[in-house]
Amino acid sequence: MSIDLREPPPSIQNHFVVETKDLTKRYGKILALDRASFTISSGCTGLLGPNGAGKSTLIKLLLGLLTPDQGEATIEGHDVKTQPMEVRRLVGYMPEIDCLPNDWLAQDFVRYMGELHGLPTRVAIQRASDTLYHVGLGEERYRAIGGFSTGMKQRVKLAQALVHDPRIMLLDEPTNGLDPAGRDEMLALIGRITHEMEINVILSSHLLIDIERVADSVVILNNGRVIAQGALRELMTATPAVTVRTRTPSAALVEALRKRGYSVEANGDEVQVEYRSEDVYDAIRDAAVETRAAIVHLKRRVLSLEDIYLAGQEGSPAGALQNGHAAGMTGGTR
Amino acid sequence: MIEHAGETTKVNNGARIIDRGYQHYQGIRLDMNHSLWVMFWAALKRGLGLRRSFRNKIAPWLLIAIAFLPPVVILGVQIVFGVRASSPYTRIYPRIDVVFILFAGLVAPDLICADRRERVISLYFSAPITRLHYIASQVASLVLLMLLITLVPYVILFFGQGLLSPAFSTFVSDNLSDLWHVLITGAVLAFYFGTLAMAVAAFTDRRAYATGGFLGLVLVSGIAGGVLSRLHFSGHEWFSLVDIFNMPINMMRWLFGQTTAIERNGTVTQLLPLDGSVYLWGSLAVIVICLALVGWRYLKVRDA
Repeated sequence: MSIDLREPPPSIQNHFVVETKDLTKRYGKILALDRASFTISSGCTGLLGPNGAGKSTLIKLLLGLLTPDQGEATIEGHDVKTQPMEVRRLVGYMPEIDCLPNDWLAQDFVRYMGELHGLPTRVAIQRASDTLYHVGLGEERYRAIGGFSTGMKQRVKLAQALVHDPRIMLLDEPTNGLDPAGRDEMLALIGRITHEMEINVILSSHLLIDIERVADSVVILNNGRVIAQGALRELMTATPAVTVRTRTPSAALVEALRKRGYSVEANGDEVQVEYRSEDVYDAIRDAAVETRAAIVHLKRRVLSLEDIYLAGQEGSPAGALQNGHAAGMTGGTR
Repeated sequence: MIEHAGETTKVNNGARIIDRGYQHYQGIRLDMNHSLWVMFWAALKRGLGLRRSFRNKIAPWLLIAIAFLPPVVILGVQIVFGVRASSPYTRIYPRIDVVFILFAGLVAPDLICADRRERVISLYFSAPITRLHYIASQVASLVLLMLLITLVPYVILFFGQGLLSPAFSTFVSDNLSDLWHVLITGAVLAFYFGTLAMAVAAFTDRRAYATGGFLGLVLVSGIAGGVLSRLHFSGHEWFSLVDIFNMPINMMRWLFGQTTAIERNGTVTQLLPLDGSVYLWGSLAVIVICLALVGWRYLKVRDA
């Protein structure tokens, strides 16, 4: 029997690659995932959180390796609980742990994984060579994996996840144990997989910089709860403040803006003005003219992923927004 | 170096090497039966040490060679000296038994322990296969490898003797019961020691512990069963079932009708403390229990 993977199932009614609702998983008394609800669209999505946040549990739930205690999740319209085999055909998985057989040749192992995912033998042999070439191991593919460096092993793990041409790749901490150069190369590869190979990637990491570099959107987890999710660009630019810097500290400017009804925070020569609409720029101009303040810098504040992450950790996303620490977060956890 | 899609390298004679870039796969994808076959075939090759270092080939091929030695010698003697050994199976099996045990004890851990120790099963289980598919393929491949030493040499011996006899068809029809008994004995021995070794190996991820544990279990049970069944108390003969080393051999003796032995002083010794069918059922029970243990263990085993 053959299965056509490229034909999307008729049950898909939306463009979401992954959709979860109230996904919950407990290990005894430990709540690993707490009613996680989020959606992931196509592209590269970062799954961000500290160690123990529930990232690996979430990935295993999405693969159908674990059964949720509550809630549901779908991948391309396939329920992970009731259709785990269909889900695994669609997905390529690169675990965080060291999990390669040392006495296998890289080519043999990647071919074997391709065959396990349903590729006919001849195709698996060809694709194993091609995939190892794409991850930069073309010359080393007939060497035993046990003699590989950490970076090369990570590439083999990536190749075995890619060999069967999945629609989605779940990469669990792919830069773990890599030196800076290796990390750069791995992130570049992930970027290529998303944009050149057009395969959706869910990249789990505790490294903000990795996510910031390659992800289009992000789901942030902490203590098993989703604390923020959304498109990275929106999260980082939907700032509720405008930064104004003057040549000298200007209390008069602060006062003038407050009189106009804006919430303002001053810190030396830098003033953060609450952003409600584009009208704020007119108000700042008028206040500066009125108080003869010399503006040297005026910019809508762009957050780093770290700001968003820290704000989510501090408390509710709404509260963080109010405090001006973060913006644009939409809590997916009820 | 990773080249990008569409890059072209010009070489002599107008030929070009074109990097096609990443190609999506649009062809057929086979179902779980294909995966099962792939795992089974890979385990077979692994068990024989194929595509592995020379060190991994030594033990299995040496034991296979030893298992083939008795039939080769018997047939060789018959060819050279014209002396035909009559129904030699009851003499060979109890002596070659230890080769079967060693083979199972060495190959079973090789098939499943490394996958858990190196945590490769976390990758296997992310493929569209179930845990039972995985373990079924490993058990099946070990049983097939066991059949290579418990059955194939003796089938060759049977038909070899037939070909060397004056009339092949007469030999086969006269000794057909031997052939059936060889088939049953070979199959039971393969399943018995194969599943037993798998059951022990399923409880550790260290090859040395699995091999040692299996050999220790067989040895200790053999000693315990032998001692207990010879003590004089009511029902002592049932303790012969504790002897998992000799249980399938006792079954084989019963199948071939060798339930007594004549000592040098002429006394007749009962070889089987219990009715022979008990050993057949006992062997089958051990196989079922071991399969259940392996299945249970792999449903519980952590995948990462």
